[in-house]
Amino acid sequence: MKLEAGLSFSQAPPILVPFRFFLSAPLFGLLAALLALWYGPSLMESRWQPSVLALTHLMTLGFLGMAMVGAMMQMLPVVAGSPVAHPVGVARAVHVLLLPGVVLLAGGFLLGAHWPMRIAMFLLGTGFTVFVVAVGLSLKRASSDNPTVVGMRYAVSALVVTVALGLTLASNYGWDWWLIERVRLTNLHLTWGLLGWVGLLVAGVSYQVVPMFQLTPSYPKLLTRWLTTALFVLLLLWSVVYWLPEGAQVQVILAVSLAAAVIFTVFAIVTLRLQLRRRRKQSDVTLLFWRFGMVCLLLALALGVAGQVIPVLDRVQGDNIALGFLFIAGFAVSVVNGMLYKIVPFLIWFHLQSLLMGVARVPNMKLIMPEPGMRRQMWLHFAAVPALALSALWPPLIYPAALLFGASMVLLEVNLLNAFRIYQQNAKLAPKGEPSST
Amino acid sequence: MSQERVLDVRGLEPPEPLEKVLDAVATLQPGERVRMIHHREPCLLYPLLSKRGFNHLAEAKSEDHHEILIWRKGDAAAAPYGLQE
Repeated sequence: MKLEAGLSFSQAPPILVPFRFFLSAPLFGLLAALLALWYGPSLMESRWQPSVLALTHLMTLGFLGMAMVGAMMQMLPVVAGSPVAHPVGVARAVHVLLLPGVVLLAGGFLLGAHWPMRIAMFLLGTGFTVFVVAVGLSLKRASSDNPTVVGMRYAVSALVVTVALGLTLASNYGWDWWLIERVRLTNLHLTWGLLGWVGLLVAGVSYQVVPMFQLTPSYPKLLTRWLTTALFVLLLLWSVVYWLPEGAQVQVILAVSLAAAVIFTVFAIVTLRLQLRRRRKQSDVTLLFWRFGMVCLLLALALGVAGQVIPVLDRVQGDNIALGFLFIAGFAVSVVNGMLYKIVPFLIWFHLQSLLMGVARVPNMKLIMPEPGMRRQMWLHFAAVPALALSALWPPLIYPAALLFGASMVLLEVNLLNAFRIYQQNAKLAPKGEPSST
Repeated sequence: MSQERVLDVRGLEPPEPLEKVLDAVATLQPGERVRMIHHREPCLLYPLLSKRGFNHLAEAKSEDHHEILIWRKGDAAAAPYGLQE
């Protein structure tokens, strides 16, 4: 039994702490879509082009990074019982550093100029350092019994590796020094970023948010105890083996990659099965986003494994680009998008509950984030992802794909802003002296 | 002797459990408390309760069965044994 009379509102950070990140995320998705429209089918020629690197970073650092940083700062107190210290200052600093950092990084790639790259390195390096230190201290205090905390610790460690490798690679663009291992470092960077930071965080957070918001049974204990640890160990192993001389490493790399693919496949299938056993039977937008995300994850894994097993496939033009679209836009953007539609109205409801106590009735969640708007955006996204993936095979398809993705991002931003406006309108009714969250 | 109202919110979608319990505690009579049964621990409920002048005591019966006793601060008759102020 425990008595928690001392629990205060510091457990729930002010609404702008996560919202400044949530409201910025779709703008980067839109920038990515505009970039794809501008460069068109030429994007499919090679994944090493500056335009593809800029596009990838707008989606990963921009859309995913913003949403995930915001969600983590919000979730740590609730899920781990360990709030980030000075949340307002930390959120403001991280946001102000990362926002221009991502834009300058993309600009640096596109212009091939040194100075935007150098400034981006400073901004992103500082921004992520502040974030990692703040979140790391909070995770250090949290209980290790909680599998979500364990998943978050691995994810943040993976972020540190990703950022360190990213800065090394960026310095190559910023100062033109001769980096002999650029290809290998790039593969390490993207594997730690996508499978590590994104994959581990999604898995760890799912243990909480899938049962909580989709009313499913809990994830099996065996899975929550081992999955993120096994993945992290595989990532470490893969990184070490990757530096062995070619020939010696091929079989080991294949085995480790297959093991990682099996673990992610188990995660996707368990999630889909839990969703089938949910208590409330009507489907909702978040559930559909997550199902779509899990199917895309399975397709991306199948494509990745096929590329490893049948090396000829790996050399097919655009194969890696299709895989990237399926993993980033299909899996990661979908689950983040789906979660935003639960977290955003819930947080608005929660903060208004606290502000309007006894003054006015808090609007229903369905009024804060109306279903038709969410559905429209969901269908645009569901149309955009297959079009993006298939444009790797038939490049002119990138035009309608980018238009659909851009429209989806605009509508997502509109939906989030409308909800936030409801918060602002209602917050005005709060009695004077209430600490305003905005 | 304290009166107890049992409120089972298992299987409800957020924020319905919080809405239901906030409605219930608002109508508590002197000497009365609420026993909320939830499938997870409602951490975000606690600051809302505290701000409204309620105390709570949470007990995890199992991983998906949490019971939270809620009573008005200062209502000794409604407080669980040993927690009277």
